[in-house]
Amino acid sequence: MKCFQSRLVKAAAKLLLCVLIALIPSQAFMYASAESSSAYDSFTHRFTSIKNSTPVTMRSVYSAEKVIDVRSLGLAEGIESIADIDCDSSGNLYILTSDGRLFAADRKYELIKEYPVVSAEGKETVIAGAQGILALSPDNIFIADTENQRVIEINGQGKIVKELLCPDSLLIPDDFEFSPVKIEKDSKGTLYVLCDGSYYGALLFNSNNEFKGFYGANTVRGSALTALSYLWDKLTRNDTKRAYSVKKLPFQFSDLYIDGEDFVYTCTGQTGSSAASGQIKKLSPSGTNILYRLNIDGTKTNAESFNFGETVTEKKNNKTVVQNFVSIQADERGYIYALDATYGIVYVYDTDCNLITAFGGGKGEGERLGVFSAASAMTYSSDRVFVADSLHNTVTVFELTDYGRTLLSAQQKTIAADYTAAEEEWTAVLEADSSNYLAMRGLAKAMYARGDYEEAMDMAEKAYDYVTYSQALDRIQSKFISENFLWIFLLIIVFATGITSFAVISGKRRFVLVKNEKLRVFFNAQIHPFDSFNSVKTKSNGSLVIAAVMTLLFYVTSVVSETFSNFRFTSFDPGTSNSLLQLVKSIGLVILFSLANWAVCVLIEGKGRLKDVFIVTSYATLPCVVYNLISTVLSHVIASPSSVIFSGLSTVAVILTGIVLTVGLIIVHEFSFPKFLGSMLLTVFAMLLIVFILFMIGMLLSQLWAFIVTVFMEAVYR
Amino acid sequence: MQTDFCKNIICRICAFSVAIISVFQLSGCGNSDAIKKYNAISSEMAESCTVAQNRNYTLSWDSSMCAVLLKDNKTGFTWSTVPYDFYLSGESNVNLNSPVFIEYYTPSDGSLQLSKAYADSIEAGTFSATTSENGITLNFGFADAEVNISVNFKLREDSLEVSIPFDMIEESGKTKLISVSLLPYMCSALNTESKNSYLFVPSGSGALMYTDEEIQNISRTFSGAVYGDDAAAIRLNRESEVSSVKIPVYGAVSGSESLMAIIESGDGSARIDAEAGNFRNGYSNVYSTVILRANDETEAERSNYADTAVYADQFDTNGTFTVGYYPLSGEKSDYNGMAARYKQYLSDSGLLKETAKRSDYHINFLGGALTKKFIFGFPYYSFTAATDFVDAENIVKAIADETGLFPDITLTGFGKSGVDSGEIAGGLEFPSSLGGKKGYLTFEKYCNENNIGLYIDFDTVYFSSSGKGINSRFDTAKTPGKQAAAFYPFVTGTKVYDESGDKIRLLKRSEINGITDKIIDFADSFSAGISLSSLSNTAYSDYSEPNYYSKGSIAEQVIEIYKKIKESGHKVSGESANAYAAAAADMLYGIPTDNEGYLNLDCSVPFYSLVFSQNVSLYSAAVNLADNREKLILKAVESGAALSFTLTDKYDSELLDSQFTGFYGTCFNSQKGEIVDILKRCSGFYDALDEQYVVSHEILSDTVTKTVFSAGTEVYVNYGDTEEIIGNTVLPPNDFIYYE
Repeated sequence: MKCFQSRLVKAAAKLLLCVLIALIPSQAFMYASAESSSAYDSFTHRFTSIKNSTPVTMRSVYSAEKVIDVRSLGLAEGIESIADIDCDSSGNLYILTSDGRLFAADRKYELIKEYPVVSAEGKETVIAGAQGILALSPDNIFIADTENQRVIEINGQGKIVKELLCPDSLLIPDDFEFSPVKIEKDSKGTLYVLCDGSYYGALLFNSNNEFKGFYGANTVRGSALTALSYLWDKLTRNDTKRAYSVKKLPFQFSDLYIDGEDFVYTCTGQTGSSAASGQIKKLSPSGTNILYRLNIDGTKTNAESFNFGETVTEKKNNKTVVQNFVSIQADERGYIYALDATYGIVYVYDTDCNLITAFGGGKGEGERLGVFSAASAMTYSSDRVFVADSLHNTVTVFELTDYGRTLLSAQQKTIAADYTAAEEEWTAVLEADSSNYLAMRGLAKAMYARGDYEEAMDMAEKAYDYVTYSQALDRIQSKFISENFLWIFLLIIVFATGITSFAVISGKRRFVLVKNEKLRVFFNAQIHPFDSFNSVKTKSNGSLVIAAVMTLLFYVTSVVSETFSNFRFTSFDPGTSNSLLQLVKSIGLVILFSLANWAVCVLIEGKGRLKDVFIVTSYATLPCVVYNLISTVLSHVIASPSSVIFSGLSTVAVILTGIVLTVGLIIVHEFSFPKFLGSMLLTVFAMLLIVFILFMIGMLLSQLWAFIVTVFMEAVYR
Repeated sequence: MQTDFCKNIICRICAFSVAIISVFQLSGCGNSDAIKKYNAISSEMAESCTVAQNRNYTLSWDSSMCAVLLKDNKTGFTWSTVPYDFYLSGESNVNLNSPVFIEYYTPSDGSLQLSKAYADSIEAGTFSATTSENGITLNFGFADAEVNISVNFKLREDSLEVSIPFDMIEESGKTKLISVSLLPYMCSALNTESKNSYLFVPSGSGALMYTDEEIQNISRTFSGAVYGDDAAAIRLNRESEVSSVKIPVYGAVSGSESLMAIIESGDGSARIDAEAGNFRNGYSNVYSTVILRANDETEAERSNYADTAVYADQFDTNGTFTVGYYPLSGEKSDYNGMAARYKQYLSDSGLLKETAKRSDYHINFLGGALTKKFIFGFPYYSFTAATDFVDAENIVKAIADETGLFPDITLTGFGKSGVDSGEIAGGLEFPSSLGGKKGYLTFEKYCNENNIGLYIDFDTVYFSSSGKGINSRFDTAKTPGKQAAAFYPFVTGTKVYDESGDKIRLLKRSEINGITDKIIDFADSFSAGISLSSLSNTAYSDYSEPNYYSKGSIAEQVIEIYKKIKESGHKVSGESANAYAAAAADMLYGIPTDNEGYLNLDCSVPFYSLVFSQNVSLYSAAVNLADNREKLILKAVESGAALSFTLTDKYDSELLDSQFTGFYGTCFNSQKGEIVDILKRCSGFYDALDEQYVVSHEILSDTVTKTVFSAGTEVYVNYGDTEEIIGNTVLPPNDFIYYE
C-alpha cells in the first residue's frame, strides 16, 4: 500500500522535476578498450521503447570452441568449398563439399570416413554440385544432387539405394526444373525437398517415393497501392504490354528443418527490400505460418511482419546491405536457430520470437575463431551449433556455456508458465549478466506468482514487461481499495459534497475566483467561447502574454507527457527522441497556423488581426494541455495497458480544442460558418506552402554552409 | 565620394580574399618530402665473395644465384636469402630467389600490382650489388613500376642487420610504391611433419604454425599489421580495433636451428606475413613487409573516387626499415630462446631495467559513463556514476575480508566523461559524483596504507569535444587521404558504423606530448601511477607530419612519454600493450594470454610473458568478462600472469548505452561470490610464484602445457576433457597443478 502511495508521490514528483536547466551540448562516445579478446560478439536486443530495440552485448550463451578443417580431419588434400553440413542422431558430423565429397566425423571431430558414392551397380558416381545433405544415421544419408537433378539415398558404404527424380505429375509446371538443394524428412517418412528457383514451396514425397504435392511456399505481400496498381494495369494495358511487365513472385525458402513433432521451420534469404520481415516461419501441417511474436505489451504479431534480423542497416555502393538467412535449425527445447550469411551471425529465438542471443560475425571478412568469411550452412546437435564457412572450408563448433544452459532452461520454464521453478535459474542468470531482460521478465513473473507485487512491478518496469507490470499494479490497487474502501468512499463523498457546495454558494454569492479580467476571459473561453472571444475582439481583453504562456505550456506538457508517462503508455526512446520535432509539433504548429490563417483571411476579408488569431489558437490549446497533464498522472495509476480512458480523454480534448478554435476564429474574423470552412482549407494549403518554402530555404542554407565548411576545411588541410 | 570609398573597400576585400585563397592553394602544391627521382639502374654485379666475417658469423655473396648467405661459424649452419637447400640445388624459382617483393599502385588505371625482384629486376638486368664495409648493398630496379630500392646488409657481432633506407628509394611518379616485403624466404624451413619445425608469429601472446607436410590446394597463411591496423585510416569494415601483433618479432625453427627476426626500426609501419606448409614450393616462411604508404578505404561510387583505396601521396623519406636477423641454435633455438634473445635486445636498448613486483590480483574499476538525459525534450549527456571512490574502497575491503588478498588497481573512466569520450584525458578532473579530489585522496591514502598499487587511467588518444587546450576540429589527426581521423562507433553485432551519434576523434600525434605534460601536472599532488591504456595499445598514423606517416615513430614517441612520466615520479601502466609500451611500463593488465584465434595458427605460446614477466607486473584480461572464464584462468596460470577483474559497484541499464560494452558483467555485488572463489582457488599458486618470472614453456601434448618459473616452480595445465598423469600425480581435466 505504501508503495502505491509512494508511486503516486513519485509520479507527481517527476512532474515537478521539470525545472529550467540550461541546455547542455551533447557529447559523443569513445571507443572503449576491448574487454574481451573474442573476435565475435554475443548480443541481444534491448528494448528502449515499445517500438525500438537496440543490440547490446551479453554474456556468451554459445562459445566458439573448435574449428574443424582439412588438417584436423587429417585429409591429404584440400577440398572444394563446403556445400552443406548435418548431424545424425548420434551427433556425428557430415560434411558435403561442392565437388561431391562426403566426410563423416565423430563427436570428437575426428574423421570416421569419407563416403565413396557409388551407383547401385557399384560404379563410382560423381555428385559434384550437390548442395544439401540429410544424415539420419551413418547408414542412411540423403543427398540433394543438384547438378544431376535428383535426390539420392546412400547407405553406409556410399551405395545409392534410392533415387528420386523430377516427378511426373500434373502439379509440376512445364518449366519446372528439379534442382534439389535441401532435404528434410518427418517422422512419417515424408521427404521434403526444396528446389533451387522454385517458389512453389517444398516438394513432398511419401515413404513410397510418390510425389504428393507442394508444401508451404511464401506469398507475395500486397498493399493497397499494389492492388490499385494491379487494377490500373488491368484497365490500361493491353496483352502485349502485360506480357512484358515484370511479375512479382514470392521468394523461395533457403532452408527448412523438421522438428520431432513434425513442425516445419523454414527460412527465407533476402526478402528483396531493406525492411525485411518474416524471414523465419514455423509451418503447421497445412502449410500455415503459426509462428507469432509475443510483443512486450502482451499482444501477438504474426511473425510474417516481424524482422528477425537487425534494424540498423548499412549501405554499400549505394545499395542497402540486406541480411540473408540461409540456414535454420531447432533444438530439442524448441529454440530456433537461424544463420545470416551476410554478417555471419547465428540468431537464437524462442517460440515467442524473443531473441535469446545472437553470436558470430565477420561481415564476410572473418578469419578468426567464431567469425566467418562466407557462412554457408549450420546444423545443431546436443548443445553444439556447427557453422560452415565455404570460403575457409572450416566448420566452427559453438558449445553451449554453463550460463547459456541456465538461461535456456529458465526461459523454457517461463514459456511453460512454470515461473516459480525458473526463479532460481533466472537469479543466477541475472547475477552473471545484469542486463539480461529475459531474466528480469522471468523474475518479474516469478515474483508476481508468489505474490510479491511491488517487487514484480519494479522488475517488470526494468524489463519493459507491460503485462506483468499491469497485473501487479492491478493486484496492488485491488488490495489497496479493499483495505481502504471506507476511507476512499468517505473521501469521495466529502470531495463531491465540497465541490457541489462550492458551486452552489459561488453561484449565489457571485464569487469571483479570478480577478484579472484578461485571465478570466481566457478561462471563460473554454466554457463560453462566444462571449469570451467577443470580449477579445471588441474590448481587447485578449492577452498576448497568456497566449505565449499557453503555447509554451502546450510544448512543455507535450514533452512531460512523452517523457514522464508510465513506460506502458509512451513510445519515448532516449536514443531516437527528437526534441526539435516536439517543438515543431507544439509551438511551431501554433505559430504556423496563426500565420497561415491570418495571411489567408486577410485576402478573404477576414477582420481578425494576427494578434487575435494567435490568441484564439493559443487559448484553444488549453484542453490539450490539461489532457497532457491528466494522462501523464493517469498513466501511472491505470492498471490496464490497453485502457480506453486515454483515447476517450484525447478525443474529448481534441473536440474541445476544435470547438474553441472554430468559435474564436469565426468571431475574430467575423465569418459565417461556410466561409470559415473555406478559410480553413486555404489555411491548410498555406501552411503546406510555408513549410515547403522553409524547407527549400533550409536546403539552400545547408548547401551554402556545406560549401563554406568544405572550402574552409580544404584550406585548413592544406 | 562615398561610392569610391565603397568600391575601394570592396576591391581590397576581394584582393585579400584572392590572396588568402592563393596562399592556401599553393601551400598544398609543394612537395615537402623530396622522394628521389627514378633513374634506371645499370647492371653492376659484385663478384661472389665473403663480404664480412666475425668470430660468430660469415656473410657471403653469391653473384650467380644473387643470394646473400649467413653462416654460423660454430655450427656451420647457413641461412640464406634463398632457402639454403634450394640454393644448393642450383635451381631457380621466382618466389624463392626474390630478396624483395614490392607492391605498387598505378594511379592512372587504379591497379595495385605485385612485383618480384627475381623476375622484374635481377632477370631483367636492372640490379646491382656493391660491397661495403662489413656488408653489401643490393639495388633493385623495377622498370615497370619505375621504382628503385636499396637493401643494405650489414654483419653485426651477434646478428645480421638488413635495412631499407627510405631516402634511397627512387620513384618516377608514374606509380606509387606501397610496400616492400623484405627477404621473404630468409626465415624459412622445409615442410616436415616434425613438430620441431615451425614458424613463430607474434599473434596475441605468440603462436606457432607447424611446417606440416603440405596439403594439396591448401594454403595456410597469417598476416598481421604490427601493433594493429592503422587506427587513423578510414576502413569500410573494421573487424576489430584491437591489435593482434603486439611484438615485432618472428622466426622460423628448423630442428635445432632457428632464425629469429626483430624489426628494429620502422616497426610501426610493418606487417608480418607467414605461409606454412606451402605445397607449391615445399617451404614454410615468415617475413616482414614495410608499408610505405597507408591507405583509406572508400566506396568508389559513393565518394566519386576512381578506386576503393586512397593511398597517401608521400612517405617519410627520413625513415629506415631495419630488421635484425639472429641465428639461434641448440637449446636456444626454440621460441623460448627467441623470447630470451628478444628480452636481451630490449635490455640492451635500455628498456626492461627494473624487476617487477606483482600483487595478488588486479581490479580495473570503471568510474562511470555518459548517459543521455532530457530536459524538456532536449537531450544532453550526463555523467552516470558506476563506482565512486568509497565504493572502490569498500569492494577492495570486502574481497580482502574474505581472502586476505590485496590488488593492484586501475581507475578507468573516473574523468568527466567516464569510459566514454568527451574531452581529452577525461577533462583532467574527478567528477563530484565520484567523490571529487577529496574522495580520491582518501582512497589513495587507503591504498598507500595497504601497499596497493594504484593507477589512474587517462585516454590520450580518443576524444570528441574540445577542452584542455585541444580543439576538436584542428587537433584531430589526419588519415592517409588527409581527412580528419574521426569515426563513428560500431553497432554491436553487425559492426556497422552507428551514424546516429557524434564521431570519435584521434588526437593529433604531435599533441600527445603536450597532453601528457598536463596529465603529469594534474597528477602532481598524487602518488598514484598513470595508466595510458589507449596509448599503450593503439598505433596510428597522422598525416599532418611526415614522421608520423604510416604509424611511423609510434614506438619512439610512446617510450619517450613513458620515460617522461617515470621521471616525474609516477609509475606507468598500460592495457594489452604493444611491445614498446610493455617494455617501458611498470604494470600491464589485459595482457594477451592466448593467440588471437586466427584459423591457421596451430597453437599459442606465452611469448609475451616470457619476455616481460621479469620486469613488468602482468595481469590477465578481465576474468569476469571472459567468454570462457575457466580457459582464461588456465591461460593466465600458464602465462604466470595474475588475474584481473573489471568491476563496478552499481549497475544501471542506462550504462548499457555506453561504448564500453561490458557493463552487463561488471557489477561487483552480483559477482562477489565467484570472484572470491576464483581468488581462493588460485591464491596458492600465485603465493608460490611470489616474484618468480616465466623462464620456459613447453607444449607436452595437444592439451597439456608446462611452464617453468625462475625459482624452479613448475605448473602443468590441462585444457583437455580427460585427466592426465603428470609424474605420479593426476592432473584433472580443465585444471592445473604446480610443483614448487
